[in-house]
Amino acid sequence: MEIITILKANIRRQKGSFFGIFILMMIVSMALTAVLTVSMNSQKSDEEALEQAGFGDMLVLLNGSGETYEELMRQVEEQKEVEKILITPALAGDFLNINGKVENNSVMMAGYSTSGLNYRIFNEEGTGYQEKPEVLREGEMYVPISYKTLYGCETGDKISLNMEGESTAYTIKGFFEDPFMGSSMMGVKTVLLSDKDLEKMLQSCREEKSGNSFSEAVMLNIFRKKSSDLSYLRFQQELNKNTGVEGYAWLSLGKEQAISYMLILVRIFSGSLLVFIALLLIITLIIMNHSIGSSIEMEYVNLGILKAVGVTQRKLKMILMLQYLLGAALGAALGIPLAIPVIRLVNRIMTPVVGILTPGALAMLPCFVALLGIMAFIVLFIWIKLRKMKNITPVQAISGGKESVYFSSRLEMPIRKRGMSLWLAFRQLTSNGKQYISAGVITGLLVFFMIMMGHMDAWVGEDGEQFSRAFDVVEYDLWVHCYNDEIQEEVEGTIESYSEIEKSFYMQNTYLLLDGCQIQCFISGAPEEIESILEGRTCLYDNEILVTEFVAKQLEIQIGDAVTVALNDEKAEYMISGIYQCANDMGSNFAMSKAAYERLALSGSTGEKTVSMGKAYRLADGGRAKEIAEKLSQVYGSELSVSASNGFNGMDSIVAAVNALSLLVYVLTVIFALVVISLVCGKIFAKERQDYGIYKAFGFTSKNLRLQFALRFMIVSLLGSVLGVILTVLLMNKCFEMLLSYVGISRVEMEIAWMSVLSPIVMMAVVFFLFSYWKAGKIKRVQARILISE
Amino acid sequence: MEEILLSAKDVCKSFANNGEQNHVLNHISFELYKGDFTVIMGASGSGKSTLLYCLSGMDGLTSGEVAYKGKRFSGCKEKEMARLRAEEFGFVFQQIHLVSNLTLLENVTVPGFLDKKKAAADVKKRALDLLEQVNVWKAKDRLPAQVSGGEAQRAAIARAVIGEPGLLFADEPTGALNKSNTDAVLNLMTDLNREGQSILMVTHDVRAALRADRLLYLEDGKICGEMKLPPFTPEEAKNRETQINAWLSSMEW
Repeated sequence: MEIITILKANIRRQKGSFFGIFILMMIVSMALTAVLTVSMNSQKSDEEALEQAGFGDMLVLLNGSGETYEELMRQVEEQKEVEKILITPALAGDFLNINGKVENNSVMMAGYSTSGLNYRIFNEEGTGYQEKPEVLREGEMYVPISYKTLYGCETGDKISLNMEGESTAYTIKGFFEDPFMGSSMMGVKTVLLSDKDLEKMLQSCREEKSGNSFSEAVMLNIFRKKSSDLSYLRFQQELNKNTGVEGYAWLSLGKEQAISYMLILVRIFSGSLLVFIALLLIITLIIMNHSIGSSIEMEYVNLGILKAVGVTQRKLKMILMLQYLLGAALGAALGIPLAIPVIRLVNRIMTPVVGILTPGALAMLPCFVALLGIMAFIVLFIWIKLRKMKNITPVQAISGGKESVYFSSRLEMPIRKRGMSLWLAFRQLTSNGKQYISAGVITGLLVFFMIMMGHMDAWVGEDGEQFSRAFDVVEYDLWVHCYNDEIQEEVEGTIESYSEIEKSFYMQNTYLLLDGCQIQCFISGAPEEIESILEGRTCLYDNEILVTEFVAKQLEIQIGDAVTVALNDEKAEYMISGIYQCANDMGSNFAMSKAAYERLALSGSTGEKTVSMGKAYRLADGGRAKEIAEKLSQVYGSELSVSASNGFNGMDSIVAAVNALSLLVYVLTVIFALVVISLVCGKIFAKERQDYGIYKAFGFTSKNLRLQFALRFMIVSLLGSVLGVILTVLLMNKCFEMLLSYVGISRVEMEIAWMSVLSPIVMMAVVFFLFSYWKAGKIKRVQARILISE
Repeated sequence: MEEILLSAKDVCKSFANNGEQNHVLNHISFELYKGDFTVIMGASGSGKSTLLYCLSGMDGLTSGEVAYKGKRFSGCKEKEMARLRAEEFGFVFQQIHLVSNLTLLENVTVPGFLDKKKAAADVKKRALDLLEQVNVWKAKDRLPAQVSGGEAQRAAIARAVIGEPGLLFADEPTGALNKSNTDAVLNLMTDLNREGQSILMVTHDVRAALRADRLLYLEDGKICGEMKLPPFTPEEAKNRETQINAWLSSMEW
């Protein structure tokens, strides 16, 4: 009973700390619940959607008719790890125009009813599925919901492609959920056509009609045996070793790989937020540490008295434990339901980006386990902190404590008349620096995270241009692949009518088998231009390749190793000359020179003497690349493929995600800073109340004292920011590498932009100054008469 | 004709305690004269400290008015009160109340710096002179916690007079000191008064009251008696003590 009485009295007296810890834990719990739920639900719903749609473990799109690949398909089906394969007719092609904009977009086209896959069609709001979706009529198509984000498409918009030399428009009937390739982050998309349209287009291909921006293909949906214990990578390698199927593929993607690509944004978002939440948790513990420490210090006499009247050490510990635990537990509990609207909001934003519908239901078990773990850690933490209480004896406590509560140390800095408030603030700070350490460390951590976000923002760039450089192996402005060599000169003439061409070289991305795994290969006519070499040197000779760190790790290969590269039936051996960096396919890519590629491609029995390849152009006026790309597309249509170097449509999603993340971090930082200031100010004010009375007695005004108080906190914030800057210098690149590994960037060497450093420091200093000035409003109510009763 | 320094008219002070009004000061009126060393005496709870803080503007009045040099200041704005405290009034407290993170010298100079008309160097010089005068010069660079109570209280007196106040308020300045420190503090205050410093002191210590030239007796929030004395001399101390004790007895002390 006495425990409850003392507990209630303690909470009443220290309601500031109680509510502070309650709010901090509420934010931590809310953010953690939201992040875990979104992350788990996305993964689960993508897996469920793949299952529901009927996808196998690997999707391969072979260019050409089914008949061409009969033997290959039979071989695949006969593999002992393969359960079955589902073969459906499809088309591989390029759209010319989406929603009125010229787009050179590669797509796989399948029949809505004949794909053999059970795709779900979204309702109008994109919040659920249509129960009975309408069958497509001629001229209609279903497109992935990410088209809304990528191209701003709505139902009724038109998409056109070239058919037999004529632009043919299709109407978007609705949006479907593509759990395999539907994310806005993935380059190739699937669209669904009416059976009649598909048949008509296949027929046109079979009749070898010219002027089509599509070609016949066959889609293999390969199912692995349930009993197979091979990893996806091993399964892929075995399959390729035995059949070489991926070597013939226009597109090939494994289920696990597809999930990784699909959820890339969710993972970036969750990864960053989990780091931030960990930071907030550390801050909460620092605050608890500060709060428990100063409570014991200030309650020294009361604790001694309670001991003197017979309350045991154990009971006192229990009371303080309950006092802090109760605030934390209530905050954590309230944070869970508060996460529900956050999850709904995030899901609403993410559906058209990720391409799948994610349920808003709380992921109860993981959240509960995570929060329980945090609470257990907090119990342990408080228990350790409360060990200090053992030293309190009733006699010491009642005689005023074992040491002076106030100002146990000081740093010599004379008080000057000019700027006296500042000198006094500095003295108050240095004479009891210990109580400001927590506020300083917290500021440092928050500033560090804000600086990181500022750099991330700057690095991504306003329109993502900077970030898109991570996807380019060499610097170029425009890439054009003329399918007809005769137009090459004319095309270059058109380019030069806009801007002088400074340099041009052959460049192509294609998929090749590297040690049995289908990996994107960057082929360059100017390998000496490859910029991002991390180790070794570029692939100058025709027997050399470069690999990324991800590929090296994945295939367990290193510089100097020999590897086999395969294309269709042809194989050749190459040596790894270096490690480079490129974010394409989440870092899963390798590079070789044009000569090296030709050694492989022209070595076969086809008797071909040249390979068809695109050319990259570096322009004197690179800013006009997009304009030129649109012009070339308009003029030459399906005769060429063209893109500007920053033409990745998924970039908008990344930029939006990074901006949203920055905003969230800034908002949470300010809230945290306010709670921290509030708690620290409360404790310090209680300690220094008497001093304010003394200062007032000698002619200081409330305004002057508030200014001193606020200046002190501003100095704390600035000193804490120094820690933030040190952390930035030491850890920023490491943190970015950890975070950006999700998008395939393994090494980051970002230069510190001092403007991005300065703004969070200034922001924190202003927040600290203004909020502590406001909190110090209590000084007004301090009457010099408190000195009578002291 | 004596010059009136401070006047109180019908000063009342009440505190609400659980809905019940506690009248601490009841319609007090009196005047303080320039150069006087006035002592207010009274039993515990008679309201003498409250009267001191009301007269110095540190605490508000429930009713009545207080004027300094003829100018009413009760009820004036905080800024004006702060100016009065900085430039016209000095305070010495029973519990000393030096700012714990400032050295003795800084405790003296900081209030002096508030006077914008005075140069920092002049303030510092005067502070050092005062600390020498009150015999704590050697301890000037120590923190209050590192010196004796007597040294701290003497430094507190130096702080109180740094701004050359018109009136020095002292609330039981020897209440927390031992005999030798008490004598040192009282000698210092007597010396200051001889130099022309007006002092209003609250005490219940007869030895402290010996130094006054005017005694007021407070009971139940009212001034019940007044006694005038010639200037203090150490030789007259014994007689004076007998005289005051007799007066206090008549007041039912």
